[in-house]
Amino acid sequence: MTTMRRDPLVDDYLRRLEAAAAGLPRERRAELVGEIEEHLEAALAEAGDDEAAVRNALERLGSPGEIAAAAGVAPERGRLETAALIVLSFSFLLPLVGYVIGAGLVLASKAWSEREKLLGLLIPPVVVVAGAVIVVLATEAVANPAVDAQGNEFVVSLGPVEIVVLAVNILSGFVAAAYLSSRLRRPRL
Amino acid sequence: MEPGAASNALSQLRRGALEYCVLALLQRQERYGFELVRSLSEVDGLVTSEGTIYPLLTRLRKDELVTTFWQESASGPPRRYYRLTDAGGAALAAFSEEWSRFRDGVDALLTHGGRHDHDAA
Repeated sequence: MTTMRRDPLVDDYLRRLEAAAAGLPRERRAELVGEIEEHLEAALAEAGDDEAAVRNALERLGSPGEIAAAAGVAPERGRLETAALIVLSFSFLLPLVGYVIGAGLVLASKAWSEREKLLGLLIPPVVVVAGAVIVVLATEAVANPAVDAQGNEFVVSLGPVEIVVLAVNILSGFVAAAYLSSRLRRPRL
Repeated sequence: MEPGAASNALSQLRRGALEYCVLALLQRQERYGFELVRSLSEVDGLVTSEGTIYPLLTRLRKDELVTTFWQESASGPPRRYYRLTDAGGAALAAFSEEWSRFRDGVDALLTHGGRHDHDAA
């Protein structure tokens, strides 16, 4: 039986893996960390345990975050993601500009997959376009006879349709933010 | 299409094929985790991060395609070995058959644009 003198790099890696896998049930987390530990012991028994071998073995494993993600742990919400969610939620206060800034922040983050980004960011524009179509259709139906002779005095009244569409538009930022937020794990305090 | 789209398609194919490669490695013999991971890594481009194979092994065990058992090793602590189950063997057989049909079809399209394949089909 050989006793491993454990490299501090290995200890540090396993600690980071433990933290990254915090979202898993205790038993599965212990199993995952145990398997990676066993893997490293086998790898270093084969390649020698000098620093270069340790670094190489760790590099081949991939980052603790990648392994945790493969085990089904959602990525953690960091500062960038929190900022993106807040800006998107309140993007109605600064129409268009608010959305563009929020979208930029979402795109800059690595926590969401490309698919999640696309889906989340499509929600507000789709709602706006759908809302505009509904308003135009509703207004045409009601207002056609009311257009005056010159056709330039066209007053859109805020009927129930417009109010609902406006409310849904305002909510669309929140809905997008809620969806994106649901894909992440709350940061641990 | 930009080159990124092709590499994305390939990475999806790899991800899908990987679990069947694990099952295939277990077809003839039981293996322990490290051994499995290293054999998979030898296939060019199949595995980018070795550590992500362990969660895959857990999933295969949950799906009852493999079982695990502990075995003493000559050097060091006991190792967790993986063994193919009957269900795993059946899944592998089904995949192998579909895969060769799929591979042949895609190969024919890629090399001849599918022209010579009509009479064969």
